[in-house]
Amino acid sequence: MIAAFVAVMLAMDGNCPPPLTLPAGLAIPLVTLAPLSSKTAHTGDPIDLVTSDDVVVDGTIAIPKGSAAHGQVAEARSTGGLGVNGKLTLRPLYLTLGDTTVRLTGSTIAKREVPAGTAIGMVTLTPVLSGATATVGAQTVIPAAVLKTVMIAQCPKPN
Amino acid sequence: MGFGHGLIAGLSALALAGSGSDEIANSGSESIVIKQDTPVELMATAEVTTATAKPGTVFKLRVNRAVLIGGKTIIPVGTLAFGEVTAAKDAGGLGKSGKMTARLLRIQLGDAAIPIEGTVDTKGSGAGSAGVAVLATGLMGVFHRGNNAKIKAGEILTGFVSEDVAIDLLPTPHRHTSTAVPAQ
Repeated sequence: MIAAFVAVMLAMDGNCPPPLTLPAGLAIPLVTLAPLSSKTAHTGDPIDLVTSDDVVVDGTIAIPKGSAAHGQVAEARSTGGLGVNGKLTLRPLYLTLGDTTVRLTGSTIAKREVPAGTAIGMVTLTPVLSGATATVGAQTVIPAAVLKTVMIAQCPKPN
Repeated sequence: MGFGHGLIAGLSALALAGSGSDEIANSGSESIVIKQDTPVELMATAEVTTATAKPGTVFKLRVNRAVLIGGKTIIPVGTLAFGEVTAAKDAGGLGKSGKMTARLLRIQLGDAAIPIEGTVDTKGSGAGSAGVAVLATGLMGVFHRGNNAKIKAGEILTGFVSEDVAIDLLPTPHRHTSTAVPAQ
């Protein structure tokens, strides 16, 4: 709140634009950087994600394409006996813009692939064929959204 | 104009304190604000399982990755943290899996309790232990007990600081009663 007030004051002073508001639910397009497999992944493993496109708010690029984001393997189940499929659930967690942490949430589906435009929670991938390992290739789309409304200052921090 | 600039400068100092997770409140001071939503990577130090845990069971974690603010380690690796089981359903017969929900509570940094938030939902999976029993009809039967839900020892969990926390680091970390940075 204080940062926002200062930013507004500086904006009134003509020094920098007002802060941007990233509302809860704002779509954040993410992709994986490395392949993942239910055979080798473990619950809790960190996963590196990156924004696949600019996120624009009020005509301003709030989050540039290629911004790093952090996620986690929420569940990794290897294949079991009796034709049990492997299962891989990924959870987008957050990204950092300057000094601000932007909390994220993802999509909940249970399919082998993640279709574009799917909406929110955790991404769960389960192979179509029984007994198969769930895999996620690099550059797999992980739909995510801002979890909590947050304001980001547009001014560089003073030295 | 002078007053305005002074006001801005003063508020800027506070803004540095509360503007994000990477700022030290005052340069040269051991007082700092850990901003809300600062991510913290934690590790479970022992297994928590629906076989033994019940709602209200508190379990220990440790900070697995240091939290840095302004390039300075504020919460070191190994700092104790706590979580709590909020729901637990033991595994049952016929392959029924256990389920467990837990929430993160706090990081204990010296005398400072830093509240954190985060939830964990686990479910037992796969075929559990199998017992062989002779049914009343004389046929051999196999009873599969489902797996308990568990948080494994060494499992990584991510929490987030749930509110701005102002802390004096010396001599022993302790928390201010408010998030306002003390005057120098």
